[in-house]
Amino acid sequence: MLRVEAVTKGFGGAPVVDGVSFAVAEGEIAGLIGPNGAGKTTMFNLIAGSLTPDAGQILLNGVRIDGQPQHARAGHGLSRTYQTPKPFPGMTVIENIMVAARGQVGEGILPNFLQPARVRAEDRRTLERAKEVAEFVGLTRLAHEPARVLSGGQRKLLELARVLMTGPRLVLLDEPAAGVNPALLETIAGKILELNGQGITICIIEHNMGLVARLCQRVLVMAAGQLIAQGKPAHVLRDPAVIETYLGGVAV
Amino acid sequence: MILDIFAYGTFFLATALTYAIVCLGLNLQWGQTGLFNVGVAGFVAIGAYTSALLTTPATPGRFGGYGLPIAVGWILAIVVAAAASWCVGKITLRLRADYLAITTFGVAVVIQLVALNAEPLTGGPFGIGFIPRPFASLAEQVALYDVLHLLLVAAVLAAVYLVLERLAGSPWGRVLGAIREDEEAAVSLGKDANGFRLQAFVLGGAIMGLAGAIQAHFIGFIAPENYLPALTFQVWAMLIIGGSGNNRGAILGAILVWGLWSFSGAAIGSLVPADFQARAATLRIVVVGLALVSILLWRPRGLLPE
Repeated sequence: MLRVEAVTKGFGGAPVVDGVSFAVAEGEIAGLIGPNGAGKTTMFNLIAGSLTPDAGQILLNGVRIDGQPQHARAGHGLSRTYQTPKPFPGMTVIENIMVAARGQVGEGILPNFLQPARVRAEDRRTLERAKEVAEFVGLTRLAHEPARVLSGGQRKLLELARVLMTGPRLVLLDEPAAGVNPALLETIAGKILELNGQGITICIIEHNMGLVARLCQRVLVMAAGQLIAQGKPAHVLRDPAVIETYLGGVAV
Repeated sequence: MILDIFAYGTFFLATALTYAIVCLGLNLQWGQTGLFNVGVAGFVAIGAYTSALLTTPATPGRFGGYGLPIAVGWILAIVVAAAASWCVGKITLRLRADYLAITTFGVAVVIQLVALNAEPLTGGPFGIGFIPRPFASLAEQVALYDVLHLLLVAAVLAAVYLVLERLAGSPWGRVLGAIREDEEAAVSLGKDANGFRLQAFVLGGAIMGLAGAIQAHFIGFIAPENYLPALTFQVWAMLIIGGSGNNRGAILGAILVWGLWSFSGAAIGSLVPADFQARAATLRIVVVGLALVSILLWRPRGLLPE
């Protein structure tokens, strides 16, 4: 589904992502792990489109997306969450979710005046779906609160809800478990598995190895901008080179 | 006496409501979209000059003077101001906050200087006179004329308000809010942030142009000094005091600040000795500035917050 081919990205000094190639198959949950500074989030930014690679290419379902503007990539069913969640703080939870719906006619200026009935009907459907999505992530109780009141964990759930609203086929989750209490962590893990059960392909950056081992069918390990290992979690997490980068520290 | 007060009241309100239209345009750009446009005066000027040049009688040595109907002048004022906003926006909207402010300020200054110096196009420092006034046939009956004019301005304001309110509550307005609050997140959800920003900038600029045209036809005369940065400052003060992000706040702020401006002008006129009046007139900017600072201290989100 996703193919990353020899992608390199630097910000002036040593490359942060250095000739990385990997693939994510349709329907799998792939984990991307590695010590801080390994280039994982940069890799996500390259795939999602807030950064452009210096070299290499990124293909989604065989279509090259690395040159496309970021907003266009959502049209290919690609969606992401952020390490530090980015809710729209002044908007209510339900508005946060509704805004994520794709291809709304009412997002054009003129249809609001030329086809008001159509826009209203569509917006009612968007609201219904947003309610379902809010229910799914367990935010129904907070639906009409401004997003700024949400806790860190709830913000991660809200981002998940927004991503779902875009109707994604591939979701990039950047540390969904970071800073989340254990009870909520269970909820988030459960939701990720449920989404995957619905056929959504998922790629996760995560430091919680228990969660990685539980969720991911396959793990990719990055260190110092390079892919150093990949395979089944049980196997990779015992790999001496991987243990070395995590526990022994990587040469800086 | 009563007739005088009534005449002054209608004149005052008509002017204030014209400012309110400009302020609604700025509210769309800043209040809803977060575009720091400090070139308001430039877009008002474009609308005023466009309509004036098209509707005035032919003038030797100056462009325009086609004597077109007022309605045509107003519509083309909207179109030309929108086109100018599109050009400016296309170039500058990738810039963030303070850089956008600097460039829009520069654009407005350039427009004002062109109006001042391009005499064959704009009439130069003498401005353009004989701009036809709506209901001119009723000019003899002053009171009726003023009331009709006020009603016309109020009707345009109401129409602009209703259009903007509908848009604010629409999916379009929701996307603008999302872009204002976190652009990166909005883009990651597939929203073309630059495209939406450009739309809001163009629509806001078109509204400012319309207001400029209305004002020009109300007074019947325009000159470059009407469109100095002080105008931009006034409109910003109106929006901040009234309540940025709230269309009703924008209208309320326009009426209040214009009231403050007119009242302080009258006070200076009657209190300050004649020799110092020209200099004392700048105190009006101080008064509005004080009001602005007070609001920012006591009600930082304005009188009618979003």
